[in-house]
Amino acid sequence: MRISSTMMSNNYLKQLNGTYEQYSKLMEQADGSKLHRASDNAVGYSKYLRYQNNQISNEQYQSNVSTASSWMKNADAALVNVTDLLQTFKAKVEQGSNSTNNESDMKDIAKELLANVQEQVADLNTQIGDRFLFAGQKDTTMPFEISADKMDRGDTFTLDEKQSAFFSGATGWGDENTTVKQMLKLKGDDGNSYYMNVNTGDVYTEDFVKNGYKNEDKFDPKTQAVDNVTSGAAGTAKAYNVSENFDQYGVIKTDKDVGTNAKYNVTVDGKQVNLKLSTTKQYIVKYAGDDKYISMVKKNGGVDKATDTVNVTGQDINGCDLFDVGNDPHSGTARLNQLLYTVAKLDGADYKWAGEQGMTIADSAHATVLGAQTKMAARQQAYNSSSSMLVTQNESITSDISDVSSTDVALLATKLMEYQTIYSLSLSVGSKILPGTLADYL
Amino acid sequence: MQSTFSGLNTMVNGIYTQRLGLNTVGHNISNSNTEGYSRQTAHAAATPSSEVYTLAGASQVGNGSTVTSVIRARDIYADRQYWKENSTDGYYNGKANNYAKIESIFNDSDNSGVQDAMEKFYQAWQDCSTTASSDTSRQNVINAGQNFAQSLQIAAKQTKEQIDSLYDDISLSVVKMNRLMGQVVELNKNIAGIEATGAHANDLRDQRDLIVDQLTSMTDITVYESANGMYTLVSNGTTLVNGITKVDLEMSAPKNNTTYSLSDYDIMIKQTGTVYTPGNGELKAQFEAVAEDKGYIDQVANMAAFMFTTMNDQHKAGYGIDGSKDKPFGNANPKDNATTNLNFYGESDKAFQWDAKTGKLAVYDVKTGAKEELSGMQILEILTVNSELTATDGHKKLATRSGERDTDGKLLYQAAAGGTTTDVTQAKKDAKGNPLPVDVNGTGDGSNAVWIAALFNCERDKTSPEVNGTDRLIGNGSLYSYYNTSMTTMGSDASNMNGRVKFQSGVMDQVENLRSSTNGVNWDEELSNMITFQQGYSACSRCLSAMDECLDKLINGTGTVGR
Repeated sequence: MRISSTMMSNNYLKQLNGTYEQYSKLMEQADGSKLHRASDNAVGYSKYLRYQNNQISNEQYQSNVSTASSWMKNADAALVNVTDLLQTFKAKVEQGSNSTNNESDMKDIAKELLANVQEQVADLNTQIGDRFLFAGQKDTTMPFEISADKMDRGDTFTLDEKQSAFFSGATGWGDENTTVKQMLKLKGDDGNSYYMNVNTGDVYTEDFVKNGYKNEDKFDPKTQAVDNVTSGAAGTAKAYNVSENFDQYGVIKTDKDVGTNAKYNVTVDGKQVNLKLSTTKQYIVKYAGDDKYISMVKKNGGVDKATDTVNVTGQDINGCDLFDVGNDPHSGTARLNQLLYTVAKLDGADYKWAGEQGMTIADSAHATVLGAQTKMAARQQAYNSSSSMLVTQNESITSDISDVSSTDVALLATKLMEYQTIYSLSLSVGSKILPGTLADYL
Repeated sequence: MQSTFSGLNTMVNGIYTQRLGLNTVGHNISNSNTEGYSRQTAHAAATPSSEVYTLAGASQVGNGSTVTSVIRARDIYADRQYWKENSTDGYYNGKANNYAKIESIFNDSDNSGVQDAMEKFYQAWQDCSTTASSDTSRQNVINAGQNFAQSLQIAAKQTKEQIDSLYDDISLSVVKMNRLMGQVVELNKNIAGIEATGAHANDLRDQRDLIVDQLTSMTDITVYESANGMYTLVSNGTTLVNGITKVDLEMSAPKNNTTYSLSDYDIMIKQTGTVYTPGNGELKAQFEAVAEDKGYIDQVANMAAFMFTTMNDQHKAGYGIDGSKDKPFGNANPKDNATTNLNFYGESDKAFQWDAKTGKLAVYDVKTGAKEELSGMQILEILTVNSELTATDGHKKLATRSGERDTDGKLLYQAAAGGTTTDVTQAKKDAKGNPLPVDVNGTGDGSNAVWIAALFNCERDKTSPEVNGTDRLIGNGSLYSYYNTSMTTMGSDASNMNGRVKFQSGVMDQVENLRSSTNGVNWDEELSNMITFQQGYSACSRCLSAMDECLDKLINGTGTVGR
């Protein structure tokens, strides 16, 4: 092939340019990134975008988990406070059950107990930022409020384990799946107190509920009832309509023929006795939250209520009592109102009641809060373990990202040196060898 | 019998021939760097001899030499190959240039592009889902939504501007083509005139071939040479130049394209009024790039339309936290007047639906029911966050919480016929025509925000029951994966094109070398020729002076008898 002079210089220039292009492409990577546009490595770029998405999601879930943890830590601290207060409460009630207390001692104890409950209410109104921790999803509403005045609340009788077993018609004394936890107290015009199982409408004498049942060898509460107020015949189960006579907090209604105006005729030992609902004046705590759960997600997709929940509601912390029968959701203040019932009873210097009922109520209140705490601890565990999983995942995503997008510094340095050498070599070849022609020798 | 001075004439011929040769060498060397120049060679031949009668009879005696022609060295085969490959080279380069622009518009490698805005929007929803009642995180969602809308609009607008500049380039190319075609016509005339006398119009032909080189980088050109040396240039079936006539190209009147809010153009042939379609070269690449760039606008528009349809639907299914305080939400009263059925993007008096048949976004006026179908830039232009949300305290209307769901996760409504239903059409409606929920979650609930966030990173069947039943503009993948796929396609197209440009540049090197191996000037060769002609000239001169001396002897040394 015939070679023209310009061909040499053109080809040389093209090669030089090509080397320079490669060289500048390598220089571009000196900012630490292999990718500067999609065409640098289409597959790598796609991976890079996807890993970025993954990383953003991962970091977001880590942030969600930390928000959730902080929520639960705060809630836990409040609940720990409440359980501490409940222990004090129990000790005070125990003190109040001592028959050597005079009336003013009892009033002092009652005052202390009231302050104790007020502090519990304050604890349960704890906020994180401007969100209430124990208001369910209604986190902007203050959930618990103690009434300014005393109101008439229905008297209840909280059964201990054995009583509960017997009146539920269980099979053994230690049976835990009992349905009757409390009974409603009624006052007869014969001066005696009577107790009603609201599930069946059966009415029992005070003596039988407190002591008489112990002598029974069969778990057959029906036959021991003196009468029945709902179906007329003893032993015929028909639930008593609690919500018709009391609101959800247990405050008695004053409408016609219900609540304060309700009367029941029963026959006791052949004598007609008129029964009325028994009440006690006490403070009432109301709940303005709801029974719904706040979720903070920690994986792709929608909300999974079973695993993503962070809060416990008033219902979880305060359990339920007799007045919640027929109400869905429950009032969310049963435990607190029971405590205030105890306060009212001690204010009335009923030391005997304090020794029996007061202790039972204090114990079950403690157990209820502890249950809510345990429930939350389990969820916190779940969040913690997912947090450590997210961190591990993040490490692997970060390493994936650096695999596709970060410069291999050693390789880059070597290549840069290689191209630099080639480039200088071409330049020196160009300047020294190219222009030689016959003209130099003529 | 030869004349006494005939030898002198022979030598003069020789000197002329050598000088012409030397001139040609000089012309070659001085044009060795001229673009498009072909080296020329002076072809010498012996002049006709004269008959001389000697004692032995008649003999033919040479009368010296003459230059019969000066001809450029040119390989027509290499030219044709060059023209063909040059068109392809122009085509690939045109496409690659466009990809480079588009790549810089959609560059996410430095975390500042569409993907970044999209991720920020997703994060804002997620953050808000955990702190649904916090004003700052609600406002953050609205801000991130505006930012995302803007980043889509900017990307589309820059792509649109790229199309505008492509049309500018095309119209410049048309002007240039007209000028070059005019020059070909002029050169055709001159060449035919010169060559009619038998000469070779070497330099004019070089110029004409150079013009054809330039034309081929813009479009495809087939060259036919007629017997009188004129070129006929044909492009994609259209005769652009025919000897001394040519067509005039012009840009058509702008065709308003509302879909992309720009003007489209064609290249027209003035004389016939028909459309000229380039078959190759930069012009073809530019027309193709216009169509491709519109495709990128469409993809951005699809994302915007997805926001208008699927994301709005999800937002409409949720509830704001602006319910009145004396009628609190909760199980007691589901008829709270919290905002629901609110568009996130677009104003409240509009309803959006994807029309699968026309592939456009149908926008309905809620009051009059008037329907308007939008596509491309039109969709992006109206992509703004609802002014109800951007107003003061508007963030309260952000639908972060949802209504009560059944065990399958479907929203429960009060049925018109009594009881509950999951079918919106069977639900009891309030005064505004919104379905009445069985219950609405509290202010702390962020489950609707979670479902909206899921649209970004979850495929269709993992999104909420409210929206996973309807067809989506972006297919069944997540929004992230739609964008990712678009970008990957763009990246691999661009990378392929860059590869072809590289390959074609190798081909061009080969063809250029092939061409210049024939027509290129080699200095060594020219200098050798120079020496040859110089020496030839000297030799002729020496011979001439020898003859001169002979004549001198004859004239001055003879016939001295009378002196």
